[in-house]
Amino acid sequence: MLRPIVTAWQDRAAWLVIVLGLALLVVPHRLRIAAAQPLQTTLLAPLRLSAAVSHSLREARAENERLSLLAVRLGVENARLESASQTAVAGPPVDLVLTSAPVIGRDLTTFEHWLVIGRGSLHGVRPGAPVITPDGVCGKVIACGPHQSLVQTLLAPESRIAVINLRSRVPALARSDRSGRLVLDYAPKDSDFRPGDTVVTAGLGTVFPKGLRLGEVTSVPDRPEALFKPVTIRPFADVSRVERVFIISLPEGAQPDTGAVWPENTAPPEVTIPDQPAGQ
Amino acid sequence: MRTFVAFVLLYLLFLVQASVTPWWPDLVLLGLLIVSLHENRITSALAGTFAGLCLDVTSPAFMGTHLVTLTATGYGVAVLRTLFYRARWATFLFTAMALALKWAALGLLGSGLPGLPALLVSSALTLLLAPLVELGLTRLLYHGWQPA
Repeated sequence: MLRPIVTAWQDRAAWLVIVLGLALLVVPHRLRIAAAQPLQTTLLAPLRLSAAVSHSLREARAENERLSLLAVRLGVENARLESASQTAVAGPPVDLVLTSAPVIGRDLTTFEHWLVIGRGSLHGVRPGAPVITPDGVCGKVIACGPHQSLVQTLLAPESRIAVINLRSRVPALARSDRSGRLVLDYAPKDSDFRPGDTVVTAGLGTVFPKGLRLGEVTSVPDRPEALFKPVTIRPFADVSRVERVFIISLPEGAQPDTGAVWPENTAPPEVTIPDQPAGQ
Repeated sequence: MRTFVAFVLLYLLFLVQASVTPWWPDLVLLGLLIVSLHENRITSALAGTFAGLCLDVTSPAFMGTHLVTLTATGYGVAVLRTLFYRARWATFLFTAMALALKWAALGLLGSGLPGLPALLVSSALTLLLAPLVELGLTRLLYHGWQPA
């Protein structure tokens, strides 16, 4: 008795829903879209949430990778700086004086063995003073006049400079190979030199302070019969084309054996010295 | 409680369906078929309305197309099951009829059909999956069920 009535009610309700659905089809598009907006926001919220979480997870993973790489790089850099600071501080810091000088003459045979610069003893230049360019070591003053000085470049056959490998800290002696390059004497056979290594002055002796950039290792040929490692170096300073140099001197009253240290592997600052000699 | 779980299940199937390509089987339709094979006529029609509404929000410009189609499917299956449910091929028949109704409605009233290859693959997968989904959902939702 009751079942047919319930079934009939359900049929009517179901048909009513279908008719309402059909009526929805004739509603203007604009109204349909307006009505669908809140429903869309609600029903698709889990998908949006999962997409946002997935996106942020991907970004976090990429950021994590980037920061991990950065941490490794900074760790290596920190270790390198710690190592450099332990080895570089050999003595009390001394304020070195830089004197700028123009190149006014050259060796007419090779253009590389010596230079004449436009500063002399009246400008405070003394024989033995190291001469550098913004790129690296250039040579040393070997004779002074009142207004001019003669500079022996690092490519002169008589030149010898005590150097050290910036990376492996292996010391050696650099000399010219008479072809515009430097070779290292007395580099131990099992020493660690690789192409690309930077070589700086070792600070041994009284001419060059420690840490001046000298050149880059270009080749380390394998010669088993040699007693020492034959390392070739390309100087940073192009002495055949240099037009202006800097003479390094100690301040008035400073002793030459105070262990002056140059900040390793750094170029000299840009300084401008007036052309008038000191005291005039 | 069982009816509520059935609606939640339909909603979850909709979320899956909304995040996959048109080549996938019509999971919402399959879920609705199984619900309609067990629930009474008005619950089946309302389940169809709910599932259709969910699918319609993904294309608001044609809102009502899925709603009408799935409501009619739910109600129709609930009415026809008393005649064919015991037959082995009833599930295939209902699935095929529902698919035909849905594609016809979408082609005539809705946003159009997804393309013949996708349509064929999706329909074939839906037909093949129908017995498995029926088995799984019946055991999950309607264990010890008596016809409504």
